[in-house]
Amino acid sequence: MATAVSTSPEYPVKRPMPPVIRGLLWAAIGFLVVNVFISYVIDPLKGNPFITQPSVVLGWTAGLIGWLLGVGGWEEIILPAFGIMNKRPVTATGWRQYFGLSLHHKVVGIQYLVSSTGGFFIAGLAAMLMRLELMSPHMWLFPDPGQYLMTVGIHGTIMMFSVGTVALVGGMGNFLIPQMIGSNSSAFPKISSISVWLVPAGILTVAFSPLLGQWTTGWRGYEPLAQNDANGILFYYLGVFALTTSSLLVSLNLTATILFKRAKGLTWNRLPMFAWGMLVVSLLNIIWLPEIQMTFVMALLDRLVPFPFFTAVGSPLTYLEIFWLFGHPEVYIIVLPALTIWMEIIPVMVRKPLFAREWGVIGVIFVMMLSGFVWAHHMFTNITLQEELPFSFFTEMISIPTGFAYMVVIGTMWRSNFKLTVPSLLVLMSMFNFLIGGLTGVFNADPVVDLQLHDTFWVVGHFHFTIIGGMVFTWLAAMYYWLPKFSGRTYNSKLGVLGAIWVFVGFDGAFSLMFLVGMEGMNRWVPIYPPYLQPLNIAISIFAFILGAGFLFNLLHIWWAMRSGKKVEQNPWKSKSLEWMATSASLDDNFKEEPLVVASFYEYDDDKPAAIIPQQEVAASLS
Amino acid sequence: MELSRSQQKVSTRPPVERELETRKAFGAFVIFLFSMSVPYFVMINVRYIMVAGFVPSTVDQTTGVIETILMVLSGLTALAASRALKGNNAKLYRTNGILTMILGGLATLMLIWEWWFHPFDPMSHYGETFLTTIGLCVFMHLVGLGVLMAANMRMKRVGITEANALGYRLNNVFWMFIVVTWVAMWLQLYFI
Repeated sequence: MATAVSTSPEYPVKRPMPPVIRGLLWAAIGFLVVNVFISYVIDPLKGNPFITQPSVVLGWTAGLIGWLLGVGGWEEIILPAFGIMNKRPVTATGWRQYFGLSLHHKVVGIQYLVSSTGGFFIAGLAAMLMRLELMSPHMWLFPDPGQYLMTVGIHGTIMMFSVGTVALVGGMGNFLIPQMIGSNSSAFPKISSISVWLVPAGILTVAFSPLLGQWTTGWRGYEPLAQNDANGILFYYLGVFALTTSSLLVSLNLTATILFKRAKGLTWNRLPMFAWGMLVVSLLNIIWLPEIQMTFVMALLDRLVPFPFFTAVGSPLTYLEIFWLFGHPEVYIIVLPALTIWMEIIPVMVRKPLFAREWGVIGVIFVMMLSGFVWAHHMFTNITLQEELPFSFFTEMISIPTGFAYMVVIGTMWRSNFKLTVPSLLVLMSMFNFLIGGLTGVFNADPVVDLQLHDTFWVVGHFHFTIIGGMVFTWLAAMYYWLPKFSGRTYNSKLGVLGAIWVFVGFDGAFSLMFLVGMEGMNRWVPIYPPYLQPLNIAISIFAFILGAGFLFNLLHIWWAMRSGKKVEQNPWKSKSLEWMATSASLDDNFKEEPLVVASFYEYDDDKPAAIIPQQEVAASLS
Repeated sequence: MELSRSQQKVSTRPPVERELETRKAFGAFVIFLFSMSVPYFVMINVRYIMVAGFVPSTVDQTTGVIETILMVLSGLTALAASRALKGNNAKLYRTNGILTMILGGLATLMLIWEWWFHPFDPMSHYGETFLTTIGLCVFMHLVGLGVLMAANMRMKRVGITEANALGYRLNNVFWMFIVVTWVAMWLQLYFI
């Protein structure tokens, strides 16, 4: 970042160092000052040990505040809030703007995507270590089972809270939604500009949790099990708190953007399907993320004070209940955007109107509503038969609205001239995998079957087919489809098809075998297993390594395509939706004039545009 | 004070459009407040799961009543500050804002006092829900007071403009939200 000096009498700006470096420095200062104050001044043991539970929690909080202020929150948020106006803002240009606080929704979207991708590969590396360990029935890679379990926890936590919840919402949502609804910005750009910087902080907090000691609870942070763990669990709670706060802030912004920033003529009947997906997911986040955050605060107090909320003295089952009250809607928070991305891509590829669009909307809304009624199916082993039945019923019922969304895409493809491209191929793969995940979920919804399958690798196979199959494959499809929006360039078709087939083979090989190994008795959470399961585990691990390499290949291909791929026109897919009318690969305003939406975006049985720019229409008629 | 470009842009918009924008922003803020109410609902739920309707006789009812009176009064002064905006009366806004901060600050200090010197067993199920709920309230009160202080200083430096009037109003709405949540928490912790 170039040094910038303002001559404004009210606000002499002098930023001496790049925002990220300054953020790290302020975070370190904040952590050290508060930690030293707590452990040396307040603690009667006077700095022995240097890091205690209260000191690390409060020090981390100060460090996080220092980080957010350092990356730009001080100038863009705090000073203006106190009326110290920044008349000459320090604005970075070129690549530097991605390394500081930015009010541009496209920059924020890309920052989210890069952070999520980083989290994906950190968590992926943890997965590779787990699979390496499981190639032998004995402990050989990790010195003790606790370290294996901690690796499982880091993998799950980062995948769920920084990838699953973030990539399509914070990333694609911030990048695309204002363009899709005909706006030049989100409703509250400052909120997203700061929230994105919580993601790297959260990922690193969880990734470095082993510094404080082992934690063995997995991504759920189960109490009272966590009370037996060393202090690493503190960084689990704190890291997840940062990540969920980021998603909550993004959701508030996206909800307000979709509700209040739509272009003229963009009625609810014409709202893009991805915007519907973002709206319902944001509402889920707005309800359930504060709920889980308060739960984690209570778990943290159980450890710090210590309170007996979830211990044997208190009510251990309550943690499980309020965790899963959030935990199952979380699955739909991850998957619903993917379902609506299918509905965006497929009509363009088949050049047919979106089939039964209203049912697609009804489907995602009802999934949102029912998602709060199914959570106890994670606890069939802990509850009575009378309690199991309603949750079993609702779990099976939720497949109906999910099926609506599915059938909308099938109906659109029916008897069409399907254009097989990399995005459409990945959507087909995603639909196939999500179908496997959904069908195996029906078995799990049945208490009698679930009691047999509970905590086996069958369940691991099921939820990976749902989440990676549903969401990650769609994320890849979205990246290839909207690549020209990011860079004005496109991918290499042969490499794209190779990348898609590569991950499909790796993924389906690894996770379909997990169903088999699970039914043969392979338990989760245990690095040691009977020798007869070794051949299957070796096969799973080999497919998993193929999958990991496949994701890396796709990342490199997308990176190459953004920089050196073939240049394409503004709307290479001939899509009718608004984002393709907006400027691509530039940070200018999306629209010079506000567009006017005149028809549905999914009517591909004629060539009439779905939206017009009034001034351009006038100019065209005059000429 | 010279208006910034964005402020000038706002002031040239027709009144109907301005009113619409204000309502939209207010609507978005209501969504935010809804989200902020969720932790309180969680604490109410947990309290009834843990101890049902039990209220120990040692809970200091007098302090609770005084805190609640102070909070309600601070809500009224916040409302008065909000109304002062309609008349573009910056001085009245600041006066009411300072009163709000004094009343709210006193109530918060009393909350902290009660939190620190709780007259019952903190390891009981009632105690842990009481202390956690009060802690949540203290945290939100401190955020609210910080927001009020920022608004007051901003008013002193910038004054009321068409572009920033809504921000001042929302600061006061946030404080009123905190007052309402405190009254609800007071009723459930001390009586119901």
